[in-house]
Amino acid sequence: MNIVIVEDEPLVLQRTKRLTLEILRLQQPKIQCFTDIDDAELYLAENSIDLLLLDLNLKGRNGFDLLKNNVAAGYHTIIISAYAEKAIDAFQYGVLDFVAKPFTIERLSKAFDRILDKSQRNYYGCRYLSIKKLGVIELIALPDISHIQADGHYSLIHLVNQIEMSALHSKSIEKIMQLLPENFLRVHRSYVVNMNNVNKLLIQPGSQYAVKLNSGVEIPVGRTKYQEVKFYLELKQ
Amino acid sequence: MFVRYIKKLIFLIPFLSMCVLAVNSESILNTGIKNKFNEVSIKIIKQGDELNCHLIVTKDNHWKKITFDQIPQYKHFCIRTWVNIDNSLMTSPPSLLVGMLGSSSFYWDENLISQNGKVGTSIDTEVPGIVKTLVSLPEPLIFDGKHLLSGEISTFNLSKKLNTIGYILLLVNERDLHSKILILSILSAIFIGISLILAIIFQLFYWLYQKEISYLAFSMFCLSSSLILVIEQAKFWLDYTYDWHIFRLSTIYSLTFLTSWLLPFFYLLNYRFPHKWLCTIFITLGLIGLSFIAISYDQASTFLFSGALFSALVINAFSAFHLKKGHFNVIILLLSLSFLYFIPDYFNEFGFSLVFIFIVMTMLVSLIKEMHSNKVEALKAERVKTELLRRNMQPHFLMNCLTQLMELIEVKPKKAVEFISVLSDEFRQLTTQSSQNIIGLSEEIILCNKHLAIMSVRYQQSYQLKVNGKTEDIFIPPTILHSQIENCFTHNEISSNRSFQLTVTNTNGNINLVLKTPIEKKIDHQGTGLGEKYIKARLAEFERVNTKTKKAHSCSFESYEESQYWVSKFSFLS
Repeated sequence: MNIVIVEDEPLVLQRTKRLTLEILRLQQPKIQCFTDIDDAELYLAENSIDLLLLDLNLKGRNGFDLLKNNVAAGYHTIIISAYAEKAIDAFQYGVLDFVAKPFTIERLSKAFDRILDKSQRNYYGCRYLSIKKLGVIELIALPDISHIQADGHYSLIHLVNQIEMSALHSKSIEKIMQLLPENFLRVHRSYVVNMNNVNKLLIQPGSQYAVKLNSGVEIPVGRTKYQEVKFYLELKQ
Repeated sequence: MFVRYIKKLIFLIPFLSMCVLAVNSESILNTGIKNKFNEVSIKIIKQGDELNCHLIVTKDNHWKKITFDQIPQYKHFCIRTWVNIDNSLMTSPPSLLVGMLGSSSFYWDENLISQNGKVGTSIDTEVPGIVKTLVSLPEPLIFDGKHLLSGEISTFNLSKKLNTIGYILLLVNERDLHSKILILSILSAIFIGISLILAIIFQLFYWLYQKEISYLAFSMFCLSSSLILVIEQAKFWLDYTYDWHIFRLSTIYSLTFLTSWLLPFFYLLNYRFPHKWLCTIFITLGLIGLSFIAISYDQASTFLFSGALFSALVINAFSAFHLKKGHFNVIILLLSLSFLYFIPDYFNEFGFSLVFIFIVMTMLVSLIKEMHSNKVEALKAERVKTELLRRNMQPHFLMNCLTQLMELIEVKPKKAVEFISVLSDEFRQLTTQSSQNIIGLSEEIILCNKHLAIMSVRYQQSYQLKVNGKTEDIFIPPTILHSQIENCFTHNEISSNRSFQLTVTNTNGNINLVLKTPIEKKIDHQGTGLGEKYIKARLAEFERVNTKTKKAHSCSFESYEESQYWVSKFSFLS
């Protein structure tokens, strides 16, 4: 497990590193520390990691730009900041967790739980998916998303209005699922569907299942997922 | 901006309407007069002359012809004039109105109609009459046709030579006259009332609200102005003998001088003019000079008041230009001056009162504005204090420090105790200083060092403040340097041992503080935020407090980026 910590105050950096090693000692993480976000970005551009622990001065000029940039990446981002009042904003952009300073080992391990147990879903208010297109960050509002398709280590995000203009996200479909609210269901190994956008559930010959979206597109539903999808749609009605 | 000017113009409406009213009522008085004698025949009576001037048969063809305002002083003389009466033109029997400085007896067709004092041949034999005579003519004597009005007059009881002593001689409709005098008196009474109330109000302001010398000057101005009006109006309701007239005139003159002097003096105080005492001496000399040039009391009043208005105009124009206040006063004063210049006839009767009232109004407005701004300043200062506390105990700062503490407690408990003591030291000093308006520079430096000590622990560096120059006996508003040092950390990530420098220079009480804080990895732009506002508010309060205690300080602050340093310059001029 590769982890990067960005923190400008040496003592706090020391603390974050120490506690992380303690919590994740079974995973034997490799930790890289930076006191400066610019140095960290150079490293992140070259190396693939699993988790970024970022101390972000969200008050500053480019705090949120940095945040949007990092949440667009393939790794999860956990913010550790004294600016607790900015937590809601940070969650909107899709950070995995927001740890307010001062923090205890218990709070930090709770944040790491979400990394370790990928099936765990705790929706904290993500409203956008951040996407890097030709080096430019774009925000996609969740209601605009029709469905998400797994594409290797990446995910292809299909939009409600512009089906042809689907966008590629650097995170895997599992990681994206961790950020999304209840109405996004993993209907298939390779598909996540925005249930608000589902027209009806189709039962095809040979026990094949599918959901028909408002746009007319049909998405296959896994055998094991069928009951869940049916239950959700009945509940909605 | 535009709306503000419109509002100010609306304020002018009462001024203009009162001007119109004044001009109108004055002309009513003039047109209401019938049979004004523009020309009278006069003969000086010498010792031993026969007194036959009241006889119709006396021939006056060769007598000298003069107008009534040319009657001579220190003389005993007779005047005659012929009057045409046409009863169809008159609504009621006419009365004779005489206003002059002299004793007199008047005859209508050889019948004695008025006796005012006792006409004499010298100052010893004359008994002074009152300044104004109003008698109704006996009805049987007023028939259509030519009548002789004759008067025997002596004018010995004058202590001083005057420009003119005959003011008015005419036949009037008594009822009309009284109603006109009533209007005049009511207007004057209003003016007098306003001024007296203002005088009292500003005395109270001075004693109960704030011991501002300008309030006292303003109160005196109101009082002396109302006294001028009272004495000016005395001729209508006080029947005094004419030998007192010069006393009345000199009283009005002295009061006019005082009022004229107080007007610019008030503005000087009000604007806290830089060289106010020099200006005051200059204005005083100017006014004395003006009163010497004048040839009559009336002219002296006009001159004095123009002088006062002019110097007030100059002061206000200067203030409008340099201090950015008093623009509206300039307009009012210009209007007043042009009133004085273009309609001088009405000045002594009305112009004076009007000009006065409007000057008073502008003063009142500016004083109320000043009180308001004082209140706003006080509120602002209060807010600044709370802001300071909030800023230095801001959650982020505290939370970051607490995170450090957690780590230290778990890893190096001894260091944690040290850190807590530096932290509490800074907070304690900040709490004490925030309630003060002025502190010693050395105290401020101690506070800065405490903050740097905290930051040194946080960033594991050893930040130092290098001080050049003597810091003793220098007093500054609290936490201005501290705020800049703190800002340096908010706006930068200072991760090296760059130094903080403070240079202090003190030349003849003019103090300059130059603080250089390093610039490194700017997080956001310095110099536009709360810190700057905070320092300006602090300096403004410092200035205000020091002006009150007569230590006329002027503070200035500027900050800019210069070769990898953020430079903050503070100057305190005494």
